[in-house]
Amino acid sequence: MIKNKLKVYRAMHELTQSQLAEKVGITRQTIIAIENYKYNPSLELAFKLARLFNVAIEDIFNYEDEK
Amino acid sequence: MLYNTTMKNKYVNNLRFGLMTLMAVIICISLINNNILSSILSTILGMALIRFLRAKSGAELDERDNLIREKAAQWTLAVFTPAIGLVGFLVFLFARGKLLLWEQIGATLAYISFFQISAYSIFIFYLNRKFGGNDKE
Repeated sequence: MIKNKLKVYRAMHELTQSQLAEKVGITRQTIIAIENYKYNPSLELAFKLARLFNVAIEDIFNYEDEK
Repeated sequence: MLYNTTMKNKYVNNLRFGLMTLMAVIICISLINNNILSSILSTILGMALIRFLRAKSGAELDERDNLIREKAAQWTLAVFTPAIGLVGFLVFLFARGKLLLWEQIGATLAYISFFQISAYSIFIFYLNRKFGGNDKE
C-alpha cells in the first residue's frame, strides 16, 4: 500500500485542494482521492507534486507492505 | 482562474446530463412511435454535441477520470459480452425451426457478442504492441 504526506505538504505551503489541483493540472477530486489513499498517482503526477513542493518523491510517497 | 477547471467540469457535466436525459426521452418517444430513424439520429447528434461541448469548454479529464472510465468500460464489456452471447445462443437454440424472428434475434445477438470479443482481442493486440513488452532482448 502506498501512503503519502500530501496533506502535510499542502498545509505547509498553505494551498487549498483546488489550488494544488490547478497547479499540477488535475481535478480536486483526484487530490482528495490521493490524500485519502484511495488512488495512487501515476509516476508523472508524483514527480510533478514532488517538484512543486521541492522535495524528493520519497518524502511525499512511501510504500508499505500489506500485512 | 483558480476555480475555472472545476467550474468548467461542473458546467459540462450538468449540460451532459441534461443532453443525455433529452436524448433518452427522444429515443423512448421515437421507439414508441416506431420511428427508428429519429432515435438513431438523436443519438448520433446528442453524442456529437456532447463531444463538441467538452472540446470547446476546455474541461479536461485527468488521469483518475480516465482510469475510472477505462475500468467502467472494461466491466461493462466483461458483463455484457458473455450475457449477450449466452442470451443469443439460448434464444437461437429454443427458437430454432419454430419461431423465425426469434431465431434471427438470437443469431444477431450471438454475432454481436462475437464482434465485441473480436474487437476486444484486436485492441488488446494493438495496445500490447503500443506499450511495448514484445521486443526481444
